[in-house]
Amino acid sequence: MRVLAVLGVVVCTACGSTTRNPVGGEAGSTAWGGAAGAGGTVNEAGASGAGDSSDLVVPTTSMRRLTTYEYAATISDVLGVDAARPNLSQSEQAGFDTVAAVQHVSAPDIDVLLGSAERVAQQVFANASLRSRWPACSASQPGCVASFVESAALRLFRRPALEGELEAFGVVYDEAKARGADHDHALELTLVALLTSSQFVYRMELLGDAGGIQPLDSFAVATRLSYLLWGSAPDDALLTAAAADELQTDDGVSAAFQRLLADPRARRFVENFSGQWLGFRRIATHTVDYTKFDWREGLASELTAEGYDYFEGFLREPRPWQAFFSVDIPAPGPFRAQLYTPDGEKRRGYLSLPGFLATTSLDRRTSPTLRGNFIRRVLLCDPLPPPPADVPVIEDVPRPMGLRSQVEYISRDPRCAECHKIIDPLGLALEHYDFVGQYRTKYADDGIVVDSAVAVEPSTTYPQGLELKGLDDVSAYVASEPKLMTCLVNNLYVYGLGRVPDDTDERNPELLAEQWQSGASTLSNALSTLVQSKPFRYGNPGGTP
Amino acid sequence: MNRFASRRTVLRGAGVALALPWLSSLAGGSALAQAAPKRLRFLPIFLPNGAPELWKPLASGRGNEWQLSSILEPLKALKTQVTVISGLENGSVFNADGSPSVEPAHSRQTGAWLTCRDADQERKQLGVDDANGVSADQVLSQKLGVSSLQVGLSTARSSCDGRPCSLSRSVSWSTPTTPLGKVVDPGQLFRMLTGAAPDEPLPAQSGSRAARKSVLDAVASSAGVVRQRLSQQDRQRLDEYLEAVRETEVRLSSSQPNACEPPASPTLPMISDDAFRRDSDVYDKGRHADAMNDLVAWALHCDAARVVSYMLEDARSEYEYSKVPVRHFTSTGSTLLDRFCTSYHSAQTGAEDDYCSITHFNVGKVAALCAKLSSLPDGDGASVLDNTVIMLGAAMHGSLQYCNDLPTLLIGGGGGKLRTDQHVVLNNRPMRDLYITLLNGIFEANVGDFGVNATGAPLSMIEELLA
Repeated sequence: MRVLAVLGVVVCTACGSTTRNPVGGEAGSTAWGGAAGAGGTVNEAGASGAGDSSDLVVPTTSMRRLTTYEYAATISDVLGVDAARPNLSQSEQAGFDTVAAVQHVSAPDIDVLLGSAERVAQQVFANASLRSRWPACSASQPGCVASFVESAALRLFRRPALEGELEAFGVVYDEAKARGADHDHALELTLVALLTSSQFVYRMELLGDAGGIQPLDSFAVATRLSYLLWGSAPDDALLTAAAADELQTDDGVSAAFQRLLADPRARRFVENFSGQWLGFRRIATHTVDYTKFDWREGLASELTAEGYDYFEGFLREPRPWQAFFSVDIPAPGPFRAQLYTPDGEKRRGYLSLPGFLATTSLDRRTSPTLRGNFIRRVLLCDPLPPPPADVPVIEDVPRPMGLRSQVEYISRDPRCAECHKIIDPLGLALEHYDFVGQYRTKYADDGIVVDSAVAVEPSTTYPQGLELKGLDDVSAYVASEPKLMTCLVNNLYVYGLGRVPDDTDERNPELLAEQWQSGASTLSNALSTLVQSKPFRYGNPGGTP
Repeated sequence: MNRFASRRTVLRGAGVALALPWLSSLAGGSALAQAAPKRLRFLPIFLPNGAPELWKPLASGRGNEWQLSSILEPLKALKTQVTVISGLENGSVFNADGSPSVEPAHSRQTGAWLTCRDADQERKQLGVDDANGVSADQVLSQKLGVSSLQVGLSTARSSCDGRPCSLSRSVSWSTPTTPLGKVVDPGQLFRMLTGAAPDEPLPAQSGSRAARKSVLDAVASSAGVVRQRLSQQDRQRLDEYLEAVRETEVRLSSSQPNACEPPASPTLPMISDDAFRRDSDVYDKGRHADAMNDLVAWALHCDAARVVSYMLEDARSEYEYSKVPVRHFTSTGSTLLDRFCTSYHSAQTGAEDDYCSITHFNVGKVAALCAKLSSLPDGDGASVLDNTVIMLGAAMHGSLQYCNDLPTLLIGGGGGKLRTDQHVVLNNRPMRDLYITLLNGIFEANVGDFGVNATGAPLSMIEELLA
């Protein structure tokens, strides 16, 4: 009830109204406190909806440190301040910076967080409009400081505070006053403390005393949803839904999910997820030998946006995921148009994006091995066995020899062939596209005519064998590969749950992929399957103390 | 869970050392209590991406018997303080047959560089997603109860090779599960070293020492309220956070300012570790290195740190040294070419002149730091460099990304205990032999064991290095 009051006050301050949050009265009768408190009052039948498959495992709950991207987005959404991405140590696992287990904090990071919090708080209190988002009252009014701390904590901790949790922040205010600060400067310092607190820096999921696997409270579910889709904290509408405990049922989760997905902020999911998984984020940092090609910043940012736009089309439109490898690429922007393309050339599918073709090349030539490996490992989640310990060094490659012959030469050694025969053909069939993604018919350095026709004998990986004549055939092959579907779900799982499956939950992605494909095989439905699932909506305290 | 309890104890010790002048830090009964009065420092400097073949001096021996290679030419004025070591390897950490082939090379070999442990094995054994051995610099810091710093010049994130980025972006580990982040912004390092800028705000204001202390107190005490509602593993992660908070508090509370004049405040714009991919009008790697060197030299001279790990770049760096001119190198010298360097990693894998030039540039920055240290007095007519061991080295060989013949050299006198001005050629000696030689032979840290060796070869001192 108290939370709703806090929420009401702030919502209305923000919109300049004096009425209380309209859902406040109604929702107050449902016991959000039960869910946030003891983890008790939960609609068990509802929550088990899509997670009905009893084989799905709820892994140990793991709080996630905000990524630098999420930190800046949260500050921007909650406080209205455009904060720079802080210089925190940042790690990634399985390609994603959202994985909890590898994010560490050591003393230099505290220094960074503190300095950033100081700059942000200073900007909030120096700007009348940003300041007005928060309760305005004078120091003499009883409860003034508490109401400020409470409403800021609700948004920054993304949940109502626990009993006694906020007292320490009142002490910051009092100590600042005692050192001679005025009211606003003392409040500014309490905001610094809130922004430096572990409760802000980590997305904590509070578990009930009862122990065992339990439904997450609505605030935790709301937070998972908002960071998944917006890379940021829940907005007031979502907090209100959480306060009304609406995120314990399939319908409640679905309504929130649909609203977040429809919001323009879902572009952040596109940037964070596809940016990391499909490599669009690497375009900006990809290096091209400037003596071979004038790879301008303008081209890089255009190719990045092109990748995001293409992926976003699959989030917004009811297209099956397989079509990711066949839908027409819209007309290029001004920089990309300067890449050579033959008259009337149409590009179709992800594999034809110059962003993909360039970032899977070396800085001055293509590498069929890199491209083929990316397709197998990243797009199909089919990792190769590690190279043999005694990788032979191939020094006696006869020269001159075209690139294709060199690649094939490597496979003469049976130790190398084991893997190269699996990955190289997919890359060789893309050879009509050079190291920046331009179409070519001949190699620029030696004038050898490009031959992108590949025939592969049947094998474990390719039971039917492969006949590839070029890019379209590679696209068709990838789209037909069943691993493609599980791989998308696997990546969504790692990104969305912030964990790489281990022995306990290694089957979850596969099970979720089955559930997903029993309905429409669209990207949004894959996301929906994930957010409705038990692993997404339940917590597990793990081992006993 | 004892691991974590002991970790806190260890860090508490390190924190005290950070805050108090050197002699007071011995109250904890560290080994240094009986040690010589000299203040010895250890400074491992990480050279990413290996080094070209031309790194290696042609001849071995001492004094006039050997000369620096063309790539090491910037160290010319310091030659009498240099020991080049060839023939060190770390493949024996990974492979029972001692093979130098380790994949993925950059991440795993860098992880083992200062730890001589295979992070893949450590993770498996501890059942966690991120683990490694405690690194040699941290063993030293903990054994002697002296404070340490971690710095670097990386401004462009590069691929972590599909392993946790802790292996590629840090080389110091204070516990098997705690990689230590590094400071890349000289402005931040300046604030950390001096406690606060000389123009410290008034006590009532945000940013002042008193205000920051008050903030950190609140951060620590409010976390206690949520702790019991977290999963078991989250409590450990919260403890890691609170430990870092506590270290920062201890530093802020240090009531005894350093006797040295504060260093000059760096004039560079704020630098973050994903801000700059190449040299430009707004950012220049050389100036970044100069600013960092000034502060590192100050920290060592003024005893703000005895142990500093310094990453010239992260593993597999793709930074473009676009203001470093390319030189064509031969075994006897180099000539200037009419262009600038490309990306570090692509130079390593295919542009020999660029690779040599980038390595030469980095050796030059290390030489400049050493020259500075040799100009700073450290009592009894010795310089800081005389009482320091700088270890410049790489975790992989070179263009061939093997884990043998690791480019390694020592600079400094080690308090007179290091035999210098020589090129020592070893026959596949494990890196851990070098560390045990430094830890026990130079620093008298009484370390019983260090790292692992899958071939079963016992740990042994490299006597050739000792005076």
